[in-house]
This record gives sequence, C-alpha cells and structure tokens, in this order.
Amino acid sequence: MKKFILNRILAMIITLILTAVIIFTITYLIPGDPASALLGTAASAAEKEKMNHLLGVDRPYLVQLGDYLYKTFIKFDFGESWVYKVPVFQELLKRMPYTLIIGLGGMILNVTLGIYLGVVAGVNEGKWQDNVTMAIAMILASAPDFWVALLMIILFSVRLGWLPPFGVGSAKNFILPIIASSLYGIAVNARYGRNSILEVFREDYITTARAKGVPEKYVIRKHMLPNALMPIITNIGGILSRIIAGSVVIETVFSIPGVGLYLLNAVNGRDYPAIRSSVLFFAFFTSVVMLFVDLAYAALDPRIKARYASVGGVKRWKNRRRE
Amino acid sequence: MEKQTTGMISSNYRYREEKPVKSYLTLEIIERTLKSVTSKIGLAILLIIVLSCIFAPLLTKYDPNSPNVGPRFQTPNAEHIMGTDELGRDIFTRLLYGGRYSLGIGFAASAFSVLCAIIIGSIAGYFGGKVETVIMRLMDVWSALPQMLLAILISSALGTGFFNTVLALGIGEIPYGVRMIRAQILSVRSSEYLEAAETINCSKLSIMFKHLLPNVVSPMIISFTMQIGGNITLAAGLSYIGLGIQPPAAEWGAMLSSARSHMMIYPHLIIFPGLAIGLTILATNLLGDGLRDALDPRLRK
Amino acid sequence: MSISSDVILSVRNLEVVYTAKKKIVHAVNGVSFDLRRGETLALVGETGAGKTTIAKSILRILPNPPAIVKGGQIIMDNEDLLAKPETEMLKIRGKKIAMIFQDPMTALNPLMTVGDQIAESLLYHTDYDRDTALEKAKELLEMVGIPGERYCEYPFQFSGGMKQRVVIAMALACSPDLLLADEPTTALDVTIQAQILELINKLKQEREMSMILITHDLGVVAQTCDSVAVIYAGKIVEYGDKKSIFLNPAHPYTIGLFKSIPSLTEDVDKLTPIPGHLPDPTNLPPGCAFHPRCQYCMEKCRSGEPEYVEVEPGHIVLCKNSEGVKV
Repeated sequence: MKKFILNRILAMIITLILTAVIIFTITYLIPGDPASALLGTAASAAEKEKMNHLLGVDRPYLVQLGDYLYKTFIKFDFGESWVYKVPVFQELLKRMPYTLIIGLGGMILNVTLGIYLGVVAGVNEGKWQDNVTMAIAMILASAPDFWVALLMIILFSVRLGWLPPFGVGSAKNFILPIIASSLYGIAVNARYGRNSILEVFREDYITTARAKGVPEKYVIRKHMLPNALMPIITNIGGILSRIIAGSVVIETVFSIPGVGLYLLNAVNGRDYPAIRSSVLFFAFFTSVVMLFVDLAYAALDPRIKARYASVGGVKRWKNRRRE
Repeated sequence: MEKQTTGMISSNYRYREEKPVKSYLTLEIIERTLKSVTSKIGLAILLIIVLSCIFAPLLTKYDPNSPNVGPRFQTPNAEHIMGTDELGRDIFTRLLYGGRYSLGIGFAASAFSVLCAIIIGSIAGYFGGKVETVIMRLMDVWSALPQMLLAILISSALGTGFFNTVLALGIGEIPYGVRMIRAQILSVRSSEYLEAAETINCSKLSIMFKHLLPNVVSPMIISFTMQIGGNITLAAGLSYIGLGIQPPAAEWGAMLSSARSHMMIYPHLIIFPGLAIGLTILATNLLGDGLRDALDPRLRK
Repeated sequence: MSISSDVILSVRNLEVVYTAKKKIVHAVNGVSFDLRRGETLALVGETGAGKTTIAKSILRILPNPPAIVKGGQIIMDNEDLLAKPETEMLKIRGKKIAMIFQDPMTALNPLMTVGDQIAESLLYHTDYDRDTALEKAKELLEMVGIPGERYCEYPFQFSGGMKQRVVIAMALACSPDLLLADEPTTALDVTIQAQILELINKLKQEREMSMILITHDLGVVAQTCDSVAVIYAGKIVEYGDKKSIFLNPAHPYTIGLFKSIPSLTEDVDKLTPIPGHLPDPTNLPPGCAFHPRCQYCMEKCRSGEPEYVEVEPGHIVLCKNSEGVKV
C-alpha cells in the first residue's frame, strides 16, 4: 500500500513538472514582450530593452526554462509579480482559501447530490423519479453555469435579499458560488450514476443477495452502490477540471478575490510569473484530488489494490487510464 | 500440407466473415437516431436556432449594432419582443446575429479539434511503436490542463476574435479525441492482424481505410456533437471575462458581460442571451444523446 | 438416503408469464408437483423451458416488471408462499429455502470478502453478532473444503470451482430445509463438476435437506437425484422416480433426450437430435406443445390439451398417445 502511494506521488510530481514546462512554453510564446506591457508604449526602446534584461526575458528559451523549473521546484520561489511587485507566493496563499472553498465545496455538493439523484433514477428505472431526475440533469447540463449564477444573484440577492451578491464578507457569500460551481457536476454524476446502477442491477450477485433474504434497501446500499461507484469516480477528474476552469468565471461573477480572478488579471496584464504560478496551482490542486481519487479507487476495489501495490507502479499508472 | 492449411484458414475466414464487420453507413445512423423522440426534439430545436441565425435579416428589421433603434432598457413589448439593451439595440436582433458567432465558434472549434484529433490519432495508430507512445504521453500532459485554462492562455496570447477563439477552444479538446481514435484503432488493429495473414494481396493500408474509417467515424460524430455545446458555453465564458469575442459584437457571452452592471434592474438583459445559450446546448445534448444511443445499442433495457 | 413421506413443498398449477413490449411470454403453464423431505427432484429440460423460472418463483425473486405470477400456489408449511407479504418472504429466503446459481464467476459480490458474504445471511436470519457470524462463516468454508483462514479474501482470489463452493456455503449457512440448485455445475469443468456434486450430495444427506436440482445434463440427474420432472414449454411432460424414467421413458421428448446422448460403449456415426426446435413461447402450438416435433403424433394431438396418464405407479406422462409410444 505504501509503495502504491509513493508510486502515485512520484507520478504526480512528474506530471506537474511536465505541465510546468508546457505552461512556461505557452507563456513564452505569447507575442509581445513584457516590457511593453509594463512600461507602456510611450517608453523608449532603450528602456524596454533594459526592463526586458532585468526581467530576464531576453535569454534563450532553454535557459529561461531551466531557470524557471529550478526556481519553482527546488527553491519554491515563484517570483515576484511583475505588475504589483509582490511575491506571487504570498498572493497565492492569500487567495487560495477562497478558491479552494468554492472548488471543494462544489465537488462535495455535486458528488453527493449527483450520485443520490443518479441512484434514485437508476433504482426506479422507467418510473417518474427516473424521468424527472434525468430531465433535471439535462437542464443542469445545458444551462451555462455563470448564467445561472447571475440569475441566482438576481433572485436571491436583489429580489429576495437573502444572500450577498459579491465579495467574501461572511460564510453566506460562498453559498451561491458553491451552488453555481456544482451544477455541471450534479448533472454528470446523476447521469453516470444512473447508468452505473442500471448495469449493476442486472448482475448475478444482486440476485444472490436477494435470494439470501437481504432486504432491498440493503441490497442497494451494500451490494449495488459500492460496485456502481467505480465508474462514477472515474468521472470526478473531468468534473474537477470543469470546476477549476469555471472558477475563473465564477470568481468574476461574484467578485471573489481568489486564484481564478488573480489569473485573469495576470493574463490581462501579461504578468508572467503570476500566470505561471496560478496555472501551476490549479494543476497541483487537480493532481492532489486525483491522487485521492485513485486512493479511493484502490481502497474500494481490492483488485486494484492488489494490482498496483506492486513494482512498476508509475508505468502501470500511465497505462491504467487507458484501461 | 499447404492445401490443408489454406483450407483451414479460408474456412476460418469465412467464419469471421459471418460476423458483421462493423460498417456504419451514415444513412443508417441518421435513420436510427431519428427514431428516438429526444433526438428529434433536439434536432428540431437546433435547426430552428441555426436557421434563424442564418436567415436573421429575414426575421428582424433592426440592425444589431447601431445604437438607439429603440428606447433603451425596454422590457419585452410588441415593438421589441425581447426588449432593448443598454444602448437601445433590439435584443432579439442581437441574439440572432450574435448566434452566428456563438454557433459558429461552437461548430468550428469542434470541427477543428475533431479534424486534428483524427490526423494525430491516425498517425499514432498507423505508425504504432515509439511514435505512438510519444504521442500518447504528449496527450496525457496536454489533457492535464483543463480546457478552459488552456483556452484562456491561448486566447490571451492570440487576442480576441473569431478565429483566435476557435483555435483557443479547439486546441484544448484535441487530446480527448486523439485518445478515442487511438482506442478505436487499437481494437480494429488487433482483429486486423489475423486477417492480414490471408489477405496478402490487399495492402494493409486499404484494409485499414476500409475497416478503420467507419469505426472511427461514429464515435467522432458523437464526440463532435457533444463538444459543440461545451464549446459554446466556454466561448460565452471567455467573452464574459473579456477574452473571446468582445462587444460591440453580439456574441451571447459578450451580451451577458455588458448586461452585468444593469442586470439588477433590468433582468431581461441577462435572461434572453442565457436562455439562447441554454436552449442551444440543450438541443445539442439531446441530439448527442440520441446519436450515442443509436450508435451503441444497449441490448438490455 | 431416506425420503420421508411428508411433503415439504407443494406446487399447484403455477403459471408465470413475462411481459415484454406488448408480447406475452408464457414461461410456466400450469406446473404441479410435490416434494418430500429429503428428496432430490431434478427439473430437466432445455434452456428456456421454464425451469429457472419455476425455481425463482418459489423464492419469489423473479424480476418484477417483466415477470408476473399469474396463478397457482406454492405451499410450504401449510402456507402459500405466493400469498405472503414481502416482509415474511424475507425471512424465508436464505433461511428456509436457499438457492445457488449457475455461474459462480458472477454470483459473488466482487467487493466483499467471502467471509462477509457468507456471514451476511447469518446476520439477517439469526441473532449472531458480527464476530460470531464470521466464525461460523469460517466453519462453513471448512465444511465445503476451503481453508477457513481464507474468509477474508475476495472472490477474485478464488477459482471457479472454489467460488461455487463458497456459494454453496453461503446458501447452506442457515441450514435451509430446501435447496434450489440452478445448474450448479454447468459452468465448471467436468472434473470439478464431479467434486461439487459430491459435495452437494454429502451436505444434503448430512442436513436432511430436500433439493430441487435444475439441469439439462442427464448424467448429473443419474448421479444425484431421486425423482425427475421433465419440463417442456413450461409444463411437466413426464414425472417419476429416477429408475422409472431412465428405464422406461414414456414421453416422446424424454425418449428423444435419452437418444441424443452419445453412447460411451458404441461407435456412432451421427448423433440423433430431436428434430425441430423449442416452440416460440409467445406463440405456443395448439394442442400438445410438442406435437410439431413428435414422431408419434396423431390427429388428436393437434388440438385439445393432453392430460396426465399414469404409466406406472408414481410415473405420469402428459401425452394423448401414451400407448402408442414405444422406446
């Protein structure tokens, strides 16, 4: 088991490094030099050149890449924001909690509610619960989350005055953002949950359990559900990606000073260190959650635990996703 | 000895011939999809929306971009069935013309990513070996970044505008398509090698094209349809945060962002564009579901 | 093995249909038999004849939307099982009547240890706490020939034959009076088949259980059963004790079944299958359901339901032409 975890962590680090390379390359390829953005077009060529030299962007690609990787991963120095002159790391730390609260809150909400709806739909196949739940899921999957967020603001903040529309004053501020983040995930989990339950329903071991005299309630809980969860968990990565990406927009809508908004401002201001670090933060967050998902996978399914606790874990991990 | 072997193999070959080779004819697909009610509804809605946007000038007399064709901030009435916005422009008109952007980006980005995926996936599948491994590793890392983040980065690099947004969105989708194509190729390849022993006359290339393409086409069609919805939402999101397509272009997301400051008092500015997006995506989702059910028939139900 | 004369299960005129997309499948059309304590009854017939449906009806675990029990009674302990409320059936399943299924590979929950799965019936039907139940589970494993320490292992760690043993242990955990075995050896290798049958027999004798064994393998019947009921198109076409059926088959279908077995002693050029195929259960032929394939068919067989005729004491056959049928 320990070997398994270590393998995963190693894989995670490798992916993060590769992701950092890609992020760096993309920002490197952004046309225009930072000096022009920072100093404005009025600055002279000489000033720009000096600034570029100061920032280090006139060095060859590989040198910059190496420098960046070294600083980020070995020294954990994320650099200073070129626009605000504050260390990026501080900023990220300040803003991380907000983004994390919304992201994790959204995940928890969508996993629980989504799976519950999916199970209800699957177990009652063909009946009204099934149709209603799937209709809800279809609507949730279609409506753009930031639009629903705006509508919720109109309804709950303006018309009803129950919840604050923006900012991060109190816990109440997070209710709407979390709900908005979770919508897509609820839809996906409900649909995949339903499919999963339908497949498990027909399995022989369910009939065996019934033949043993296990009441239907427990048949669902102890036999169907654990087996149905596996494919659902596979989806969590995709949902998480959406939530993270969506955080940029959600934070814009609700004016939440989180990492998403930070990224957006950084992008608009050509603030490379901030851009790189924010994206890396998101990648890191995703990887950590995926790590837990993989662990959950292994904890749930004894077959996987047996398979991956052995040598050659990293290679097998890369291949696993294709299974 | 030789005669015996040939005999055995050809009888094997005949046996395998009995199992229908999966060739999905487009007509068959269309036929089966149209059987399901939900996909018919989806197709209908989509067609209505698409045609309305294409034939916008026939449906509305107003100009989408010139301000003050009517009084500002009008709620829906007989003159302007969806009201007017903050610059006095008719919202319904703007939706129709703006739909050209939103729908256009959605379709174009999906088409772009599907095409690239087919090319890259085929290369990976055809050459196999080291080439394939390298490409798949690349796809792994490529897909580690969420599509939206990638789109934001690329969008900021390239700037706003139709084609830039198409690229920004399409690039992020490619790895998923590549994986799907490669999986299809793998499954076909393993059955192909057995027949390759006999059909030494036919070139491997032609076998692959005859059997490969049909297998690849169907999941790609599904993928394409499902992606349209996602891309439209992402495009709207990009426009909302200031990338993508910007005002005064009437892209639905841009409309939402300009309406933000006024929405508290005039919610209709937000309701209609969002409804347009939602309805379009609902239509593509329904259609995509119908397609998926038609192409992967479930035996039990 | 001693078969007492008291009847523990009595099935009367069982009728089950499946409704599938506006068509009605007549799966079981009036089946009646008695089962005595300690007796093993074989339900023999081809796949789709309705054998499994009969067994599942006894336990009432038929999938409810498609399957409907249209009529009949199943009487055990002077009570009609078909009329019982579900809460009482829960007490009977696993405790008084147990069932083992055909495919051991899929019959066990892959995510639960075998010990937990065996203990599950104990937990629901007795007052044992979890630890005691697991201890009992270990004993049960030993009883079926699996080392007790393996109770904490998962199904994927067992071979097919061993999985079937686990299934047997699970079924017998609460010492049921009746065991329904649905083709328990069909999915196993021949050598394992023999072992499993031996095991089932041994346990049956030790616990004085009655058993209904569903099979399409006459060899299995010969080895383990006391009486035989031949099922065709949802009806019992022949019923009797093993000796009478094997030495003196009376129904053309049964005769056909025996004839189609390859002989161990003679050289045969061709096998003699029964011509034709099973009738479409949504559209059964009029009169005797077997008449289209029967070589002794007479005009009167084509219409009007046949009735049971007693050929020998205790040996009945559903045929209008019972005198005309000779081996």
